[in-house]
Amino acid sequence: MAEVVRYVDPDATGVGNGTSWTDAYTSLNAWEAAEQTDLVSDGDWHHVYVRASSNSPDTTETDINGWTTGSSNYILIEAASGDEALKSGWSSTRYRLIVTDPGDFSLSIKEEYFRIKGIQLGAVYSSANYKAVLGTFYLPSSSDIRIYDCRIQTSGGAYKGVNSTDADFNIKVWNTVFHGITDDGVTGTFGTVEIFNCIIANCSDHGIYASAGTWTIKNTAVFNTADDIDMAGAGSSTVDYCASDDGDGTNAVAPSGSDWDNEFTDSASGDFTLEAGGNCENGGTTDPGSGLYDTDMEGDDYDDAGGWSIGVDEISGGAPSVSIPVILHHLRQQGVA
Amino acid sequence: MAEFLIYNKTHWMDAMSQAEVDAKITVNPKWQTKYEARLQKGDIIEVREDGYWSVKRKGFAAPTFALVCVPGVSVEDAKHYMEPQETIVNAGTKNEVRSLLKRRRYQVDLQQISLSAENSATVSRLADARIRDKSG
Repeated sequence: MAEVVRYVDPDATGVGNGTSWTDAYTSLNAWEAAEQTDLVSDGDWHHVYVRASSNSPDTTETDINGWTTGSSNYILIEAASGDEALKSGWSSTRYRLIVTDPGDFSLSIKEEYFRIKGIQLGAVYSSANYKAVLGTFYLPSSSDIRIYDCRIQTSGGAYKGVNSTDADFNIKVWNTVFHGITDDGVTGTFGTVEIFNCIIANCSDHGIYASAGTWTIKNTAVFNTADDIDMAGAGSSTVDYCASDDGDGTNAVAPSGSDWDNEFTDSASGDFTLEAGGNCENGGTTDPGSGLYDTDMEGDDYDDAGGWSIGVDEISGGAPSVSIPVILHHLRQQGVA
Repeated sequence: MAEFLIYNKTHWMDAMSQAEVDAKITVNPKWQTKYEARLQKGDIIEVREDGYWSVKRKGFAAPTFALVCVPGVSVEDAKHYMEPQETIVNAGTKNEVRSLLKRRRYQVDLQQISLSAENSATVSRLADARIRDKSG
């Protein structure tokens, strides 16, 4: 199994064939068109690194469609070191795919085995409403799509974060911040959606809304929305160890003192660095993805001994602080209180 | 001036025999949509402002892509040439659903354009770029 490596940098000035940072493609869209292939028959998997060496955004809508992928022959788009999405806020000096008035999605996924790691993704409203940053209206067959360590935002209009609209859309999202979404943060009418250790905050409509499909949501903080988690239409759903204003799901967690500033550094402006001593610290369930991942958005180990925290951040180093609400939480987990 | 980045290769699906295509569709009928929407030689992949590839950069991944430069056309006026061909239900509403027919609706007839050895050309008018609307 060979790894094919390519590079995308909107500021690159070379020959644009993607074979090095100097000669990087200048958009994800150009990379996608040029590199389409049958990865299964090639015996390869495709790894594309992205960066913004002089801070320019990637502004072209990108459609992933025209490949053949497999469970070992997947496509991975990954932010280069130094260009990863941050828990503390949107960065205009790091790589970001941000599209004004996308036709349907800023990034449309129509291949079954596809992963994104550490990317900032966004959409900007100018004149066309009801679009989304990421999603699909079409997949050929059952899929395994993974979005992790990313940051997603929209600006203006009524734009969703992730929209699952295909029965074959099986997506896992973890360690990802959805902030300032101008419609639903994550929504879907089909498919299987698993959300672990995410932040979904400051959405104009629902944080998470299911009108069908199978949903699992754990260790996720959803707040400052019109309705945090609405699973009324889901075929089946599990909402467990989530923090919200509405007390959604089982083992629900509320912000300490009813104030999200006790949980995250500055949630209003998008800084979701975990605060010590709040109810989200060590407030989640351990290993919600059953081995899918074991580190937070910035690569720190989750706390197996004390219990994983809710959100995208684990406080690393030193003995964990323990508050009375956290002690009560763990006693409840053990059936003692 | 706008610069048009044009798909200038044969797509890997075009190398498949009809029997291979039929076999894929038999196994997975939805694959036909993907096959029919594939990129085609001449498709307009990207539109950028004057000099984006021809001046500011050393290249544009030739021969995978060709470059056609058209003076007097702004990116704002030309960016719709990157649109896909698709059907739209409930357009402009919360329940909008799009079905893709072709990855790109517009295609440059490269047979009618004299490309340089570097796979680029400058034409004086948009009409000379020989852009075809696949939707008819």
